Amino acid sequence: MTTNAGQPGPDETMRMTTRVRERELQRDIDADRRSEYRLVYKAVIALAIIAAIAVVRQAFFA
Amino acid sequence: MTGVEWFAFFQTALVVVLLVFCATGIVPVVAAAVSFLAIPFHAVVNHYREARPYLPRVVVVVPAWNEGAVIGASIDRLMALDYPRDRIRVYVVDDASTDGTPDVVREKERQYPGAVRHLRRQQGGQGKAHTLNHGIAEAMRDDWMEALLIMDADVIYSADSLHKMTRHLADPAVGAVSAYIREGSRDKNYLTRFIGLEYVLSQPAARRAQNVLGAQACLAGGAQLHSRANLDALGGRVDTSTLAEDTITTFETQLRGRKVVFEPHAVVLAEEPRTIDALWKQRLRWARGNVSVTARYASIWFRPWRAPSLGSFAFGVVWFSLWLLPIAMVLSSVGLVGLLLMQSSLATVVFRVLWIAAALTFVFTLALGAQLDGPLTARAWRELLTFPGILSMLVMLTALFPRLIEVEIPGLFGAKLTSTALFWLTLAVYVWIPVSMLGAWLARAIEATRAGRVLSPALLYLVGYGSLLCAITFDSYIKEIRHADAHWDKTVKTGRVMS
Repeated sequence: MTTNAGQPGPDETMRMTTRVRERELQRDIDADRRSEYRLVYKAVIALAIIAAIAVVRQAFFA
Repeated sequence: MTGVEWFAFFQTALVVVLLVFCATGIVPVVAAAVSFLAIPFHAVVNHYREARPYLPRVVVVVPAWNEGAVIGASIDRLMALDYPRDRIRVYVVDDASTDGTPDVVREKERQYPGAVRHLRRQQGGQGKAHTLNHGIAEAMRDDWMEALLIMDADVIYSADSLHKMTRHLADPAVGAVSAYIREGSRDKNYLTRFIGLEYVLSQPAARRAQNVLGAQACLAGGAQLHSRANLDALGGRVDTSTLAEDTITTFETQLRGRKVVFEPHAVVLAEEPRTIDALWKQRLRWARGNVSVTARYASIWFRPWRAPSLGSFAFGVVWFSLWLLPIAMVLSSVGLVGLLLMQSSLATVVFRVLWIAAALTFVFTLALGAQLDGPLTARAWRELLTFPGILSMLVMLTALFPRLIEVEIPGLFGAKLTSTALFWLTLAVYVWIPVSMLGAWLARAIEATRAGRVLSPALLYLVGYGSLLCAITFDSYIKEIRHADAHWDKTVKTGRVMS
């Protein structure tokens, strides 16, 4: 529904606000979902530290 | 059989028993390793694909007993959340407070008409669960509430935390959602930094793993969001018979076929104890609650056909390895000392296997955990480096690099360990874990003394924060065996959380 001046009416404004808000919330979900992929890199770094300790042990203290 | 043959048989049997004792020490290590190795799988095994933008009408139930110092600010922060104001109501359940709590809440009722309610319990002191049930019953009285958030009076929700939690309830299979409770005191000391690190390891780390494994052990007491359908299924109330209502709610939700999701990006700041004594009382309550939970659900452990998630082998091992950790540590030490006296070369091999596994698991968990909350771990770098305890780290170094500890470091001082000195050093290393628990107990015992102000923190850095938690769990066994009174012992909060 629009007003005589071509501006959106209260109901339409509410629906547009809701759609904008929903898009924001969906973007937030997508961003958080994508950020979980960083866990893989973080685990690799932690495993690399373990590997370094194993190498030092074998190379110098075996 | 001859006497000599009987003796040889007895000796072999004893070695086998001692090896079994030693093996108990590897179970918690393997459980921790498997749990933390599951964390990267959260990249793909998570609930975000089922999550949708969803802003249900939420009633926030806040149990409050003498929270006058913090409750006003908590209500203001709830009203300032990034959440539609007409879709959130706060019910403060005043548990017969004797301070200014009622006045503060009534003032907030006037400030936020229709959004804040003061519910007064005339008979207080029955415990948090009773107080919560008062608020839940009020919220269930009409149809307005679509989801219910249980929180503590002193915690601070980050602005986006509530909508990050509600999005999971768009999936009707989800019954409850928990958030990341982050230690958030303004005036941090060594103990709150240790607790902060522990929370990183137990929440954004371990609870992500529990999301992957398909079963959550416990909803955070200060941040649990339930769908109305879930509360209906639970009978509209939480358990009041134990000190572990949060865990029982979590278990009952999952046993009724609904999922519990941990949301790592919803952050809630909480105030944690600054003294070992206060921490001991809080954790003793939790540990004794876990004894009740373990007994109550005896029929589902390791029985996936009865409870697919909670009854799984992986979940059972994780649960029991934490609950029985002190026993495993003591048995493992007994086994090592016994083997040292009977077959010292076998003891050396077993010791190295156990402690190298423990050392590598510790390094992996800390290295991964530290990356999950960079700002917090940057502030707690001293506690991160000494989390297992300085002396425990020396034991780990002895296992990993024996020549370094036994030959090269003494050599720097022109010393050489005699076989007798080496025996006593080895014995000290093998009995270290039970001794470290005694060290943690001593740190609590002397904390209130003048010397204790310096010695208690020093002792904790030496024996390790894990030994403190083990000592508390051990104390819970003693209290249970003695049937000591189990009562609600509220952790005093003073509004130290960062705004």
